[in-house]
Amino acid sequence: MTIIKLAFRGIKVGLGRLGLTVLAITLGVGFVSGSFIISDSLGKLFDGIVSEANAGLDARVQAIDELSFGQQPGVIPDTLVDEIQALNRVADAEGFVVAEGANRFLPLDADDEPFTSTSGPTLAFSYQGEVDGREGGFEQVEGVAPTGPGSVNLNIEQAEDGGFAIGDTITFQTPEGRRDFELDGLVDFPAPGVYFVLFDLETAQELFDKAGQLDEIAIQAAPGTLPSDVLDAVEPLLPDGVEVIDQAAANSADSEDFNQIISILGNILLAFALIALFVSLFIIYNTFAILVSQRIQEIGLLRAIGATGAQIRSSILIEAGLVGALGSVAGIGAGIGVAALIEALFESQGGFPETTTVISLRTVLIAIAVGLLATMVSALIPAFKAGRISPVEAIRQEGSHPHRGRGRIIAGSIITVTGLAAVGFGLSGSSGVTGTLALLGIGAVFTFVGVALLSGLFAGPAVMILGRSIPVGVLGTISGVLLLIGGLALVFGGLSALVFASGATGEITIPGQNGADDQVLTAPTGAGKVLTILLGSGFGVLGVLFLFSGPRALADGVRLVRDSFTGGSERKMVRIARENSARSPQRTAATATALMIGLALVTLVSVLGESLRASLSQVLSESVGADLFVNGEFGEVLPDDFAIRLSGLEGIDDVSEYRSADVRVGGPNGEIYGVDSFTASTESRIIDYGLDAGSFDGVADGTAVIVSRSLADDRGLDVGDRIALEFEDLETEDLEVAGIAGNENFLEGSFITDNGLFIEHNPDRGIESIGATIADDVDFETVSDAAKALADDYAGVQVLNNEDLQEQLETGISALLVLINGLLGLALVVAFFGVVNTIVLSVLERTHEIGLLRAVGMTRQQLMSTIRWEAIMVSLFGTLLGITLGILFGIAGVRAIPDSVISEVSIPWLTLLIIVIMAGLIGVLAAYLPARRAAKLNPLDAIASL
Amino acid sequence: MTDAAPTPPGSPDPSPGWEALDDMTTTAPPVPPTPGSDLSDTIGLAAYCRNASKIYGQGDTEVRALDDVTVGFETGRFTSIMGPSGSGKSTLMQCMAGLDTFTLGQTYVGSIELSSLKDKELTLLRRSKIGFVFQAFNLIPTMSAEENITLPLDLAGATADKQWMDQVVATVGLADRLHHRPNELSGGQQQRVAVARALASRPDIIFGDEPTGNVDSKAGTEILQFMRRAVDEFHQTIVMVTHDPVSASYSDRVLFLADGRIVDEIRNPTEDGVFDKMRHLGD
Ligand SMILES: Nc1ncnc2c1ncn2[C@@H]1O[C@H](COP(=O)(O)OP(=O)(O)O)[C@@H](O)[C@H]1O
Ligand SMILES: [Mg+2]
Repeated sequence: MTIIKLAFRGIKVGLGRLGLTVLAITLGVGFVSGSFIISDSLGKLFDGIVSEANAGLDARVQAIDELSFGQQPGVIPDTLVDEIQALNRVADAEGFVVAEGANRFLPLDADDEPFTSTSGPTLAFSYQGEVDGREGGFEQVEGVAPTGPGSVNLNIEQAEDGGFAIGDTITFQTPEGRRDFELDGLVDFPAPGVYFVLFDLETAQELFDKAGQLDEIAIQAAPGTLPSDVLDAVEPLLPDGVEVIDQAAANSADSEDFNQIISILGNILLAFALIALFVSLFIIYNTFAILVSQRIQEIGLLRAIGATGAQIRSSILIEAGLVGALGSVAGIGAGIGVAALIEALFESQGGFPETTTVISLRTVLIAIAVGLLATMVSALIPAFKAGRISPVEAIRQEGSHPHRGRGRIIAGSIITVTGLAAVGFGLSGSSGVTGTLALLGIGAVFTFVGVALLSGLFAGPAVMILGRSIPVGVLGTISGVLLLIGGLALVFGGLSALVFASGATGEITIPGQNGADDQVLTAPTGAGKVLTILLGSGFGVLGVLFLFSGPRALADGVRLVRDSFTGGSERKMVRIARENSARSPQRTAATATALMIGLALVTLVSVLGESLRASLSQVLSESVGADLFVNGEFGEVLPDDFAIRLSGLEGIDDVSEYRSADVRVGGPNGEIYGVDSFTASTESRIIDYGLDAGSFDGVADGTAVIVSRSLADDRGLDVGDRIALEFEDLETEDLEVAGIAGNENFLEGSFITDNGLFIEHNPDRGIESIGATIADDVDFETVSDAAKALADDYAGVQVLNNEDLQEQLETGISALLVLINGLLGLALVVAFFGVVNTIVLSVLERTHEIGLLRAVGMTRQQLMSTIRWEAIMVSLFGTLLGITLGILFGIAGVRAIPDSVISEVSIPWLTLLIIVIMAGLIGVLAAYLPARRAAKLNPLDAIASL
Repeated sequence: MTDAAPTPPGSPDPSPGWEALDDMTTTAPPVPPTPGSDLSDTIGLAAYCRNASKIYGQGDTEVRALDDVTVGFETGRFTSIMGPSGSGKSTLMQCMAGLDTFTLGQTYVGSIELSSLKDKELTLLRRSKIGFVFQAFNLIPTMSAEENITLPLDLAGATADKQWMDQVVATVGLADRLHHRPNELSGGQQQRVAVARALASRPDIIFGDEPTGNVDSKAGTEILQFMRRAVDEFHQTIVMVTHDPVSASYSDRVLFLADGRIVDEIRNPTEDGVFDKMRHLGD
């Protein structure tokens, strides 16, 4: 009992000191529980949508989508509907077709431009309404269902966004050119951001090129009939490759994709949450280590009057447990709050059915377990240390000096070496891509922990080196300037958001860029308003903090740089700061480590991103000769006549269509490889095959094949060998290996044939992309523009020139980097609190000294300056550690990822520079409040604090 | 550029000379001894306070630590302050050193009136015109003895006068210990470093609150001898709180404090004289 009392008392005394620790746990646990809550809620939401859509369906006929090699996809003839309808056990059967791909049928707006959703695809279906009281399908909200070849329905969201009204004649862009339809009705379907275009079945079949075919038949059982009886009855009627499934199977089939995406999303969020939590381990450790060292005398006294080491240990662990529990509960609250806010935001966007926040028992249990475990584990070492404090420590004046534990060094070395060994072993490449990446991941975690244990050894010397006046001063100055500018921007932005949310500004029109429509912003309501106000106030507060801390950092930074040359007093502040951070290397190290992890990951991601960018642009410039690329916006196959029309354009030199499929080598149980097919013009500049050996002889005739280098090595193939390829039509061709392609950027592990041979065996495979070269003696832009104009005739076809492609890839990579780094931001926020925490505790620990310094003439400003320099040094140390490890892991990662994806290492120096500057910002900001508190201390009270 | 060599703004007002003191003595009953009344005109006051009171707390918990004290400390003299525990000695030191402020009354260090100064001005004043030696833990543990000594100068961005430094260091007898950290020095050595630091900026006045209170008598003697030399050889003004008549006998003058008032004083004290007076006061 006494132990518990002690633990409680410890918390009460240290509440201020534990506050930031609780916050760190709260953030980590909040993110963990938030990930679960969001994925559970989204899962439930989509399950709801799907089961609503399938509510009136007892069974469904569909093509089997998992095909074995050579199996042809089944076709549902539309005569099947009548056959099923005729069954006694069936009350109703309705056929349904879907247009392949997205954006194939787009209404034209007033400017004759295709009108698309900004946040989703436009899908075309045959109409499937609530016929005969059958639930599910589209809800007719206005007008009537489409009937006849000139009639169409749109969903209400689309009609509202595009300004279409019932009775309008709308021109559509279709794969077959433009066509007019009359808008006869509007429907609703709970899929926000997605536009629907609905025709009657017959029209849809014609438009979608599916005459006489159906994609699905929805079946309603006759009253009193079991669905299983319906399945039994329908089964015998089905052609090959077609199946019938019941409602439950239909639901899970329909939600499978959603659920997969949701679970991926959930796992990604969870991974980042765990990273944040991992970072908070170091902060918790640091806090308890400091608390124990501050209480050495008290603990010594307790030991002297008879407390056992075990009792002391338990009291610290119980204290940690209580703190962990507090943080976990608050974290679950935070998780619910964030998830609720996100969902409220979805709802206020409209279109989503009402969502409920799903807080499962699992979420609560995992969150609490994770939070508690993290806290207890981190407090373990300090607790054991506390248990070993001897009674004499109570009498000693100067707190015992932290001896460099030999155990720590040994453990640190072993763990680091293990981590690096895992990375090295991974790089040896014997474990496949996934295995390698897993080894790298485990290696990284071990290395982080090992370096954290060891960094105490060199934190002192490192800070003594890093804490030089000039670098620190320059960093401080830059940070000051950035904070000043950022502060002004944030305050302005925050205030604008608040004014906007208050509705005082009414509507704001943002002129559209590049001829896009103007965007009109109206004052938000409901959750949007709350969020805007929250964000606005958050920005404002942050801005004020920036504005308070920036100017002083700037002034002191400038002074320090100046004093470095003239020998003024600011150098002394840096000295004092340096000594302070070098004095408790373990604390400096733990703080720096927390920052190190976040920044190592940011660096890693940036190195990978930059390397990916470099590799892609190398591929584009070296391996790809094409100047123009044609593909489907959503990966759809291309119209058959596009290549012909393209080659008809003036200035187009060479055009090649690309198709792909599987081939089998070695009979029914043989291995499956990819086969890539081009127009095998041997001199093609479209793709650089990089022939290592052989030639193109015979490829164009369909008697020979090119084999990629890795595949050739794999199968021991050489030029002149013969190989039997079995195509998907189950026909086998005996082909000669004409050449071996060394450039595997696109063609890794595959056979390359000519289109002629390919089409013969895969008549149904569409064109995936088209490459074209532009003649040297014509104007590039003119030809490129002409090609793009050609694509306007086809919905969903895009033409990109080399530059566009590069730009598109870069935008994609940048967006990905922003996303990942944004998620890693949480780990950085946690680490930031760690720095604040350390500074707060370090100030508390040095209260007496601070009083003394003030007594002998240190001004408040100078005191704040020393504390700021200290924070900057600690951050800089952590940042450099992080960057170093990040580059190391980045290089390892590039090596581990197949060359066909990333082939060369490229270090993003600019990003690294920005990260270093961020270290300055973090230091300045983290120091501000603790420094201000320290400066307010009365010197006499401070001196008396011993 | 505020921490360049400071010239603290002060009131132009009174010259801390005799006129001021005369003025004070007339308005400062009921304290019998008129400080410095028998000193020659040539001696000014390094610091003084007039009708100074310090009141802690309020209402029921009110403590009047100093009660209408008027006292001056002559330039180039060594003054001791004695009195029972709780009599207000530390309070007087701290308020006169600009570490705290009187509730009522005025304080001057040199020609500068302290009560009107803001924190920053007080800090700059402490840095350049005042030295302070606490009973213990005077040094910054991360700095060497030398760095501790030059700390006030470093904070001001001033460079130490090499000759003066050498002289101080030689006097304090720590030349071979300069690069040691405080935890490598004995308590007595640490206090000597603290006195050297107080001397380093050649302040107008040095205050010591029981500077020998925490060290053995041999080390105490060394410190006292050192302070005595600082007064004799460098014309330094020192004011020291002590409990020990032997220590007090090193000074030129002893002031006795009781219940927040100055109740007596001895000039050129001897050990026995101080003893007598203490016994007498105890009655
Ligand atoms: N910060 C304070 N708050 C309240 N009372 C105080 C404080 N500091 C000193 N005192 C009181 O003022 C009186 C004088 O204290 P002090 O100057 O420390 O005496 P001395 O140094 O002579 O022992 C004592 O009664 C003491 O309790
Ligand atoms: Mg005292």
